[in-house]
Amino acid sequence: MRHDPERRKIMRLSLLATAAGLLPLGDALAAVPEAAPGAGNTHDFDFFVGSWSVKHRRLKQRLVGSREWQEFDGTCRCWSLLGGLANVNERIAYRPDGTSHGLGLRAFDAKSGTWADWNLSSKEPHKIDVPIIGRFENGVGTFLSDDTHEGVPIKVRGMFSKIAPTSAQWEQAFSTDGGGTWETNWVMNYTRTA
Amino acid sequence: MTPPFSPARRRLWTDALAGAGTATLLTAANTSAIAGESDGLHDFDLFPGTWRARHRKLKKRLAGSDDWAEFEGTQWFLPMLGGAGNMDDNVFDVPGAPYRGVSLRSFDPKTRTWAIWWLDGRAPHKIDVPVIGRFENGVGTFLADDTFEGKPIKMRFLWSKIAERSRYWEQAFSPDGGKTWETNWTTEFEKIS
Repeated sequence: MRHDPERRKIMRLSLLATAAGLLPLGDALAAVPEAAPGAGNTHDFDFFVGSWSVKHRRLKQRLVGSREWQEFDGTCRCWSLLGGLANVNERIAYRPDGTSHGLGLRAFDAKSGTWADWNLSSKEPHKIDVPIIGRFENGVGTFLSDDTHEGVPIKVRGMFSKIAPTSAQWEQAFSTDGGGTWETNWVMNYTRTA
Repeated sequence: MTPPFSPARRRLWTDALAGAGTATLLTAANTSAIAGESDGLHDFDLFPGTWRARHRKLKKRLAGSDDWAEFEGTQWFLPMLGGAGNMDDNVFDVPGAPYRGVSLRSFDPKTRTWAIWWLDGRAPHKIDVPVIGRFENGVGTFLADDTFEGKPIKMRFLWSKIAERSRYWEQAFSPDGGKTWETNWTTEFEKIS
């Protein structure tokens, strides 16, 4: 049985959100294909819809063995799109070196049962990264891509975990050895504000 | 025609506007250094809301065709980041094959240009090359180098006739580096709410 407690919580939350009119699930036009059993589905990101305050912990330097972290606050807001097939979020982060903002877009491919997650930052507002791709299993969403860091090929991993009605965690890690070892370089702890 | 968006959707949008208002404090402050009429950040200020769309789409592209399909649709347009970004969620009521898609736009204050990406709900893991451009004299022109059936083309989006309750969009392809253009899609938008 795949409905673990985390998943049940998410479903309960999404039902509440629907009742509150937060999600456009009543939209008659939302003809979303059914995914294969065991794959993700269009409700995977229901938990993320809404407004959040965010505590950031970010490694100052990446892939150099640094243990120096900077901490800062931010906000995040997520909207469901395409009847659940996609969602978009804006985020604002009050970093020590100035305020930055960004957009994230996630879209579900019913054929593969996976999500693609693109990221866009105000530091380079016309550049969309290679998407990280993955799905949720046992309450943890794991999304991977092949990318480069300072010219070196890396694997990028984004993870959503600790998903609860009013909190969640996201973290990012890089691997220079094809996924053998990972260095986490960013952790965001989300607390729901609306 | 059935109501294009549920009351829930309208509430979501009202909610979004409230949120955007808060964010304005931030991003407007960041970009207000670029003042003046052509700063670009406000190019899409009249776009938010729910719109009825009347689409005309050329059935075959770059084939000398003059056979157009006509269908309706709806668009829900959401400002983000206090204006520095925005997106729209579209329903295309193509008879027998309705589908949906999302545009995402991001403003670069350095170049005062917008990049626009398109995600087709039928191929949801593919984002096209962005078209990039700006508004001048009331017309927004956005260009990209892309390919069509394996051949390099230039792609152009044009926004024009921008008013409170109506606006006009068209897409054209050029197979000769921008000398000649074939318009293959036009959309008249009319504001619903």
